[in-house]
Amino acid sequence: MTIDPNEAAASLSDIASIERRTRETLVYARSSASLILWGLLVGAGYVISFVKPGLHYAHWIAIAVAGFTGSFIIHRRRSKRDSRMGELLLSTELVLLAFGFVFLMLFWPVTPRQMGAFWPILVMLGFVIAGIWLGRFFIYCGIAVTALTLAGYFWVDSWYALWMAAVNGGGLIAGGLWLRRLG
Amino acid sequence: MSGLNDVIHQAMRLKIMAALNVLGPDSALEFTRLKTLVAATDGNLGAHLDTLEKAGYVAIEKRFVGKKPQTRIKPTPSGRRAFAEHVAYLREILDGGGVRA
Repeated sequence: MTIDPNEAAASLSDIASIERRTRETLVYARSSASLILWGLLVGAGYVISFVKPGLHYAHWIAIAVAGFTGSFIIHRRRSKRDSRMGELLLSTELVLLAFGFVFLMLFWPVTPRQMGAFWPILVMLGFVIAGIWLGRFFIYCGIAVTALTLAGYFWVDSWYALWMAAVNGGGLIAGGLWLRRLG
Repeated sequence: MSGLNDVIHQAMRLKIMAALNVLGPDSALEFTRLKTLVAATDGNLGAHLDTLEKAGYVAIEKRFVGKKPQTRIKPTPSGRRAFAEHVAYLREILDGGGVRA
């Protein structure tokens, strides 16, 4: 049996394509549980903000702690099979959180309304950047949630927190469920 | 230089090995997920996996998750080695620009 350079090139191209799709699938499968968790927590956070506006940011600290602890447990369970992927996803979440606080230091004081839009948009920036490397789904999800967040910020008045609960909490849950199908 | 590996070079088996080679050391892919990735039918994928298993390139594990049967496939060390050698062989052909037997 003989192979000419054209056939070799076609085989290598097939290999690259399958490798890319497999990586995408694995990332999708590993991200879905974390996304659903954050969606539930964030959705609950905005509902609490709507019902008890006097709490300001106190409940968000509890939500952040619960989210990162949950993510850590999810990644840890998965990391028995692939430690690098778990570390990457968790590190990305922590880097976004750290840079979020740096931005807030620069722009403080911010209104609760601005704060409500800031974190989702920052996280969606992470989604879009991750999507460039890992898979287009994250880009679509990041752009859609950012657009809906901005729409709420500029045009939704007294129902703003509920809008954000639906868009961010619901968006992350829907994204996580969709990723589970794709992965 | 590496030689042509007839078992791996077949188009579907090449795709199967490429997908499995992405996995971490102790990871496996479920049959249904692998089927989607390589765009194969159940029967076709099963036949090619059988060939790869006989060559010692993949390990197939069958188990039950609840009441549902699940088949998981992972590459063996010799499968990974054979795949790497085959890829090196394809690159050599491309770099050399000639026909190899």
